[in-house]
Formats: sequence, C-alpha cells, structure tokens
Amino acid sequence: MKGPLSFSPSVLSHTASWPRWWLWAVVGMTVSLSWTVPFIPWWVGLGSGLCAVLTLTILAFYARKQYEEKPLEGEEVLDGHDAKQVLDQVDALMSPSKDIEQIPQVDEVLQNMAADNQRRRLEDLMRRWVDVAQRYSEAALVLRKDIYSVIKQTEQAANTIANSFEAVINKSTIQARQAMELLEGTQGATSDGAPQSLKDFIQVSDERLNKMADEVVRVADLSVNMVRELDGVQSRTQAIDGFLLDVEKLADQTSLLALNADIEAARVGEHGRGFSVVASEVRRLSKRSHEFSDRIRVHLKEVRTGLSKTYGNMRMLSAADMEHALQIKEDVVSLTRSLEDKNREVAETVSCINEISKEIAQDVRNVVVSLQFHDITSQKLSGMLEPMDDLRRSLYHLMQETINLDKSLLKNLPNNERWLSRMRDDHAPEPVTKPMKNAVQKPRTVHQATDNGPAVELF
Amino acid sequence: MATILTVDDTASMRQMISFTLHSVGHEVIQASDGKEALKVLEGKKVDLVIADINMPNMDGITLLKSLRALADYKFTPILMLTTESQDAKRQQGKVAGATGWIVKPFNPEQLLTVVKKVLG
Amino acid sequence: MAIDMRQFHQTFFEESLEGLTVMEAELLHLERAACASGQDTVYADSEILNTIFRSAHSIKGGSSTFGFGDVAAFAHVLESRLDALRDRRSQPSQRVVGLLLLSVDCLRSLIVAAKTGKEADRNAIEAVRVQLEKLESENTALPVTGKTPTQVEALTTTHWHILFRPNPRMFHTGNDPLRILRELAGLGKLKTTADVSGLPSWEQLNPEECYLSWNVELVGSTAREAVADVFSWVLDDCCLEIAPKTMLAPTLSQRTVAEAVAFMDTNAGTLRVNVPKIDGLINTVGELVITQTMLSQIATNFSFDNLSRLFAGIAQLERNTRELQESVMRIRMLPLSFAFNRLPRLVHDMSQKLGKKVELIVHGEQTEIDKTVIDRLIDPLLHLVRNCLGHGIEPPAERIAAGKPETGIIELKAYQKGGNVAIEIRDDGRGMQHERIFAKAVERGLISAEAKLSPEEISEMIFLPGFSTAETVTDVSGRGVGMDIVRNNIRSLGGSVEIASQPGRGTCFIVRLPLTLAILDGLSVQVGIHTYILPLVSIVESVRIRPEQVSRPAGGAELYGLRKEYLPLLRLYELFRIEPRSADLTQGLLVIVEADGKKAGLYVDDLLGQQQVVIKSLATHYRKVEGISAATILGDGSVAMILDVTGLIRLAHSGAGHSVSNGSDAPPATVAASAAAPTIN
Repeated sequence: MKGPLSFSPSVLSHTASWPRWWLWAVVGMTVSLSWTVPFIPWWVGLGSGLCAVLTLTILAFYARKQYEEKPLEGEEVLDGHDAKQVLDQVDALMSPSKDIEQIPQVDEVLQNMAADNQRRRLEDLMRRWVDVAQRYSEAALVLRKDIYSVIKQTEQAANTIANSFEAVINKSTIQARQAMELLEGTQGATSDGAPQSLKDFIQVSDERLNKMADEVVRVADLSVNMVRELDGVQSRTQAIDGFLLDVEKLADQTSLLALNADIEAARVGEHGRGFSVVASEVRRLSKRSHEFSDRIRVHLKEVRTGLSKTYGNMRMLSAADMEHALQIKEDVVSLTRSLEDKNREVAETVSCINEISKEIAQDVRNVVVSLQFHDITSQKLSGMLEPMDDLRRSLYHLMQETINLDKSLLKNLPNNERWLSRMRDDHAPEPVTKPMKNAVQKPRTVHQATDNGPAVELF
Repeated sequence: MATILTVDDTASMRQMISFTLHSVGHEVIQASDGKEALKVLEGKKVDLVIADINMPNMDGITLLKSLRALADYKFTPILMLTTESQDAKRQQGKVAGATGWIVKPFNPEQLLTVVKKVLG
Repeated sequence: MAIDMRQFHQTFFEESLEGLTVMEAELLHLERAACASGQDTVYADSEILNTIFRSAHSIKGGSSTFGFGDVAAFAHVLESRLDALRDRRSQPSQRVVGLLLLSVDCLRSLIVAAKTGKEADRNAIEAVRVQLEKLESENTALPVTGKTPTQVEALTTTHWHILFRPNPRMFHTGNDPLRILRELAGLGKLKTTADVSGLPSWEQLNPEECYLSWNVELVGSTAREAVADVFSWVLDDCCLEIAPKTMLAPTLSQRTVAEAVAFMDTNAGTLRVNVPKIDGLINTVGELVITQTMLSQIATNFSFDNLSRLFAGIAQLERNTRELQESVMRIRMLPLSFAFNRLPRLVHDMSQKLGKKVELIVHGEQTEIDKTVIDRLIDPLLHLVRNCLGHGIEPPAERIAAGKPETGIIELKAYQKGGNVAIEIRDDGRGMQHERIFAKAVERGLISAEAKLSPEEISEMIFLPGFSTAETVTDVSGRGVGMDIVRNNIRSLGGSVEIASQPGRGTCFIVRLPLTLAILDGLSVQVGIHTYILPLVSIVESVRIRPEQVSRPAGGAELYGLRKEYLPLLRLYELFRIEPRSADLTQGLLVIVEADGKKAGLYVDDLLGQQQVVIKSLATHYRKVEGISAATILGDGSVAMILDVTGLIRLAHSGAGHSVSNGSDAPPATVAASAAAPTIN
C-alpha cells in the first residue's frame, strides 16, 4: 500500500538526509559527551565516542540498506518498470536541483522513462535498419553484376548455338538433296526417250534381250523345219534310187529283149535283119540308159552325201540352238528380276530419306522455338533489375531520413551526437547505379571486384 | 516471294526469324533496332515488317509510329513481337497502328501461318 | 458424433453459399463486360475464371467430404467445365455464361435441399447438367489435326451469320478486309454481301479509308472461336457480330431459385466479422483496462491534490467506453454490398425476361449498416428495384423514340449522412405516371375523382395499401408485394422512404435508415416531471412559441404557423395525460419533428440535452402504445420513453391530439413506466 507517490518523498528525504541525521547524531553525541568530559578520562570519552559513532554509522547504513532492499508492497508494475527503476530515474532527474517542488511527479517520470525506452528502442531499430539496408545494398550490387554476366553468357551461348544450328541444317539439307538427286537420277527418264535411269535401262535391256531370245528361238524353229525338209529330200532321193533300179532293170530287160530279138532275127535270117538292127539299137539304148543311170546314181550319191552332211549339221545346229535359246531366256529373266529388286530397294531408301526429312523439319521447328530463350531470359532478367534498383533507392532514401530524424527526440541523451556521427561515418550507403540497358554493351567478366564500387555513375 | 524486314536487338531472335522465313523462300533483311531499321529501309521497299518492342536507341512502338508516317509504309502490314506480360504495350501498339502481334517464343509454323495470313 | 458434424455442416453451408454468391457476381461481371463492349464473345480475364473455378472446386470438396453426394456430383461437372474453360483461356460466349449462372442456381438449390432436407427440382437440375456436359463435347470437338475422323463427325454443321463493319481507319493498321474475308473462306462455304451504303460521292471519297461493310454467311463445321480468331487483330477496329442459328438454354424454375435465395437471407444466426474490427476491439479493451488500473490507483491513494488527475482519468474512461461501444457496434455493421449482392442477378434475369436492356450501377456499397437492418432491408430493396425495372425503365424501342440511349440505367447510391444511411435508387426511365396512378387510385376507391392532389402526393399514393400494381412480374420471392409493405418494412427499421420523380426523366426512391437499431441519438425533453426521448434524426428544429402564430381552426386541432407552413401542434402532456409544468404555450418550447415528409410541432416544457440512449424494446412486455416506440434507462436509473415520431405525426394530422380517450390501449404512459421500472431492467 505504499505507493510511489507516498514513497518517494520520504525515501528521498531519507536518502538525502542520511548524512544529515548521522551528522546530527554525531554532533549531538559529541555535545553530550563533552558534558561528561570533565568527569571521565579523555580516552574513555574518545573511545566511547568513537564506538558510538561507529554504531550509528553501521545502524544508518543498515537502515538505508533495508529501505533499499525491502520489497515494496502493493507495488504496481507501471509500464514494465519496477519502483527501483523509477527511483533511479527520479534520482537522475533530481540531481541538478534539490527543490521539492521541482521533483517530478510519477507520471512525468514514467513518461520520461517511456520516452527513454522509446529512444533506446528507436536507436536500436535505426541501427539494425541501417545494417540491413547496407547488407542489402551490397548483396544487390553483387546480384546485379551476376545478372549482367548471366545475360551476357546466355547471349554468347545462344548465338553460338544458333549459328551452329543453322550450319547443321544447311549441311543436312544439302546432303539430303544430293542423296535425293542421286537416287532420283535412277528413277526418271529424259525427254528424248533415251533411257537415263536404271529403271529405263532395265526395261530396255529386258526388251532387247527378249527379242534376241525370240529370234534365236525362231531360228531354231526354222532349222527344225529345214531338217524336216531335208528328210523329205532324202527320202525322195531314195525313191529316185529305187526308180533307177527299176530303170536298170528295165534296161536289162530291154537288152535281153534285144538279145532275144537278135536271136530271133538270126533265126529269121534276112527278113529279120531290120529286126536285128532294131535289136542292136535297143541293145545300145539300154546300154546308154545303164550308163545314164550309173551317172545319175553317182550324182545321187554325191547329193546324198552332201545331204546327209547337211542333215547332220542341221541336226546338231537345231538342237544346240534350242538349248541355247532357252538358256539365254532364263538368264535374261533372272537378271531382270535382280535389277528390279535393286530398284525397289532404292525406292525404299528414297522414301526413308523423305520421312527423316519430315522429322528433321519438326525438330527444326522445336529448336527454333527453344533458341529464343536468350531473348526472353534476358528481358526477364532485366525486368528484375528495375524493382531491385527501386528498392535500393527507397532504402537509401529511408536510411537518409532515418539518420536525419527529428533530433529533438534524441537530444536529451548526450551520447547521441557521438553515436549519430559515428553511424554516419561507418555506414555511408553505396550510391545507387543507373538503369541497366546501356551497360550491357560493355563485356563483363564473371567475377568483379565489389569493394571499389561499380564503374558507373551516381544515380 | 516477299521481302520481309525483321527488327530485334537479340541476334539469336533475328536469326531464328530469318531462318524460318528463308525456309519458304522469303527474302529477309535484318536490323538490330528502330534507328537501323529506318536506315536500312532507305531506297528499299519491303512487304512486311516484324519488330520487337524492347530495343535500345529506338523501340518498337516509336519505330511503328515513324513507319506509319511514311507514305510507303502507311498500309504495310507491321507485326509486333511481344512477350505475354506486355498487354499494355500491345494496346499501345494497336493505337499506334500495328497490324497484329506475335507472342514470344514463337512457333515457326505459327509464324509462317501468320505471315501467309498477312501477305495474302 | 452427429452434433459435431452439424457444426461443420453449418459452416460448410455458409461458406458454400457465400462462394456461390461470389461466383454469381463474377459471372455477371463477365457478362456485363460483354454487354458493355457490345459483342457476343467475352474475353475472360483469367483471374475471374480462376476465382469461379476455385469456388466450385471447394464446394465440390466440401460436399464430397460431408457426404452430400448430389451436390458433389453436380459441382464436379461444373468444376470440370470451368477447368476446361480456364485452361484454354478461351472466351466463353454469352450462352455459356448464361448456362453457368443457371448451374449456380442449381447448386444453390441443391445445397439448400441438403440443409433443409427438402427436395430440389431434380428434373430441372438434370436438364442443366446435361447441358453442361454437352458443352464439353461441343468445345473439344474442333479437329485440330484432322486425324480423328470420329470427332469431326461429332461436330454438327454450323451456320454463322457474321456482320463485319470495319472502322474507316482500318487500313491504317496495315490490315486488309480482303485478306480477312479470304481467310474466312478457308473455314467453310462463304456467301458474302457487301454493303456499299457507306460510300460517299466521288469527290469526298478518300481512298485511304474503308467505307464498306460486309454481311457474311459461313456454312461449315467451325466453332465460334475459330471464326472469332480470324478477326482477333481487328476486334477493336470494327463492329463485329457473330450470331449462330441455335437456341438459348432453358431456364430453371424460378421457384427453386427463389427458395434457395430466400433461404440464404434468413441465415441470421452467425455473423462474419472483419478481423481488423476485432483487433480494434481488443485494443480498446486493453486501453480500458489501463485506464481502469490508473483510476483504481488514484482511488486507493486519493487525496484532493489528485482531483484533477481523477477527472482526467474519468474522462479517459469515458472515452474508452465510448470507443468500446462504437467498436462493438461496428462489428455488427456490415457493408451494404451484402444487401446489394442479389440485385445484379435480379436485374439481369428480369431485364432479359422483359426484353429490356438495363445496366445496374452501384455506388457506395461499402457503406456500413447494422446487420439486422441489412437482413430486413433486402426485400424492400429488391422490390423497389423490381418496380424500377417493371414500370420505370421503358422497352428499348420506346427509349430510342424518346431520344434516350437504348440501355436503361438503374443507379444505386448509398452514403452516410448524419446518423443515417441513405440509399438512393434512381432510374432514368419514364418517371411516375401521375395520371395512371390517379386513375388507379380512383378505381380502387382510395380517393375521389375530384380530389386535387399535388404530384408529390400522387406519387405517395403508391404506398397506400391495396395499391398493388396490376402488372405483377413473375413472383420471384413469393413474399409480399406492394409498395405499402415496402414502406412498412422500412418504417419498422426506423427509416423512411421518399419518392422524387420527373416524368420522362426518371424516378428516384430515397430510403433513409438509422445506422443501427440498438442505439439512438436522442434529445431528451421534459414534459411535466417526466423525461422523454426524441430521436435526433427526426428533429428539424425547436422554436419558442409565438402565440400569434397559433391558430385554432374548427375541429379542435391547433395549428402553428412557422414561416410559410402550418404545422399541427401536439401538446404532449395532453396526449400522455401528465401534468405539465405550464399549459401556457409561451412557457415551453415547440419541437418541430418530421417523418415521411410530414411535419408536426410537439409542445414540451423544456429541452434537457442530447444523449445517446440504448433502445430497450417494450414489445415483449406491453401492447403497442401509439406514440411510444421503445424505452430506455437514463443515467440516474429512471426510465424514459422514446417517442415514435411517425406515430405522433399521424396522431397530430388526424386531429387526435387532444386526448387518447378512445382507449383501453392507452394507459397513461407514465403509469406503465413506473409499474414496469423494476422489470424493464
């Protein structure tokens, strides 16, 4: 129940007058002692005097300590301070003057303490604030440089990729075209009808070979016919031979007849002379026909020999021809077939190449889209820089304002000036740099010295 | 086929556009910003202009306005390249007389369709 | 744990219904944008679509968790449609937005059904769901690569009628209508008719401008988006209309909608409060504690030196308590947007039904007013707006003939004025048709044919009971119709309704409401030995009585001439049968009060002062006494009656000011008061 209101005056008077009452007690004691001096020895007086003084001092000391240490009952916690602090504060405020009227009231004291507290907190805040701003500034600088370098690097990479890509595409196009030409060269025909392509060639050869084979077959056929004819001839000669025999027989018979006639003639005598002439003529005729038939026979023989020779050749030839012709035909057919197979393979390869070209086209499209990444990322990155710079600028301004805060807040504390100037010196913030676009033109390496500040002018 | 001018400060972007347009047989002229574009156009006539918006020296919108002021290019189709987030710029472009816009990154097929659409 | 779940259910229902309100508002937003730009397609802001999607999504989740199967199923369909819409970032057409609005209605009725156990209209809901599902197949049936022939077959032939009217300056952007038409030709069979009516004569022809427009018929199997795509670059530079030859979506039964909506309003059990308000409350309470501490401190060590500090402390306490009171009151205050949130939907539905084009503009919906007021304000407000739609705004043809823009405007303006909140409902329609009202009133026998009434009085007549409007629009809420009920409702809230109208120009209804029903700013007056409270809002002025201004025409009533008007003079002591301090009019004061456009003068002995009083209702204890609205307890513990100004004025005008002798229903107000003093606490 002893509130600070009632508390402070007595305490103050207590503390203020501690030396006082002690002094008074000492004086009083001395006076009273001095009265007894004549009655007691001087050393008794002095001794007792000293003892008394000592006791009083101790008592006073003890009493004061008690006062100080006794927990104050019913003390309210005001604004988070206890009475001790209030007392200290009042003490501090009171030292310049001892006038009771000028002793501040509790609420004033509290207000001062609150203000103090606020001041302290404010200082703390300001210090932390400047710290943070400083750290951000530094980090922002580093970040900005990194961003520059990223942009530059991506630009280089993008250009390289784009160039290489274009080159690759060109070359692959050329290759494809050449392959196509090569392949197509085997497919088409020229205007003058002469076979230019493999296909045409195959076709024409096929035709010609077929024709030839057919010719050969025809020849063989002819030969066979001829043999048959020869056979016919042979049999005719044989028939002629037969006739010849008959003729000889006839001639023989005729000569016999003639002999008979002669005989008869002889018999007859003179009358038969005509007869014998006839008979001798007949005899001569038959002899002549014998001769003729002999001659014919000789010819026939020759013919026959010739025939059979021819016959034999023919035979041989026709047989050989037929076989040959058939063989040739077979060869031609198989050659044609293998040529056609080759042709088909070629056509398949051509269509394969076409397919791949289409796929390549799609891949090309994808790459074209992706290669635009540099543009987009660099725009986005540059976009990042502006808000960063804005923030930095704002922080800078805020820091300035903080430093230049209303000094009246801080004026009561004598160390403030020192702290303020110290802060200003230690934490002078970095100047903020100009916006980025122009700076990109200068090439930058990845690691930049950060201590000396950026190479661009003050914003 | 047609002669097309492409304006962009990023080399890879210009390369991609030229490459795509070349593949169908268009002729492509390149410029790296608005100023260069105007210089390049002196004495030449192009059938279509494709321009980026963010460029140094002279940006896309300014280039657009300058082109529309020239008698030769009053009715030439001019396409703007924009990123998705630049809606406001798109509006500006429209007001300044852009024919249409292409969103980055562009798909080459789309680009060819749009070019065909515009050149008829 | 049935009880536990019920709590959760309650929260789920509230949240879902709120979510549905949000969805509805956003959908109307979309549609309004479409209406405003005059085009049929809507460029959906992706954020709007996201918001709508999220609401549907959470409703689906919640209903599924709590086992409301049919709600979940429907919400699922709706959510997947919305997902498709927002993924494609496509442009939902007006038809789709209409269908989505219907779906919101369905969901609402399903949720109401789940909550109240009543069945919802299954058939209608099923129909809407089928439509929703058809929507999906329609939208995804566009063949992109042509590789799936089945999908192509699924798409029916479409027939689009396109009106393309380029701006004259179209060429200047490098766009060429010719190539646009050529592109269209690639989509299907094209039949074009050019409209050359815009061509000027040769001398005026500027070759750099476009004067032509085209009507195009496109038959093919293209979706609307493909058609709109062709024009995507020139949308701002031309007038474009793309119309199909298909029909509109069906409407859900209005009753189910009404029920669901009605249900939403009576959910008065809980209150949503802004967190900052609670924070403010906590702060205020904290300061109160500090002040109290300080005071008790002063009190324990009281000495006369501290008197000034004591007074300061008490002043501080008073400040804190007042702040606390205000904070608490503010908690109960909700922005008027809660009352306005159903209006866009109403306007949308009704305008479509009536074939009128109406735009709703709302100002000041963030003005706050007590929750109880809002709950009871919604119906009268709806009715007033319905009135404007039905009678005020003319059909488009009539509007154009009158030289007005085709789209009518209904403007709601809410603002705080003094201790009141005023809501103005203004339309730019044809205004009050005085002759018709007069004729109808005569027809109903409410007045005689010869009565001479000023235009204001004629307008006021629509508030008379029995004056229901003949052209009843479809009964959306099923509750009372008739302006008289509107006025009664508003009056029961302690407010008033006025009409101002100009023929041909429009009508304006002004609704005035007190900020809260619980606390009143009042003026305490002395009548005899008793104190009465007059609501400050009703008081116009107070004057010293000049005897020469008092006149007593036949009939016994007294009139006081104030400036140019004559007001009935009501002697309160006579009315309440109290002994006045002095019956001489010059000794006391005349307090001029106003309500519903009528004024009266109340004779009191003295004015005591202005104070805020807490209204304590008498209704639970006593029958209604004419002239008394409620009671309050004054600082010294005595009871004071709060006067009902409207009732008093009515009494005054009807000449019953002399004494309430006709009645068992009027025991002297004082006796009642004193008898009730112990119990009213």
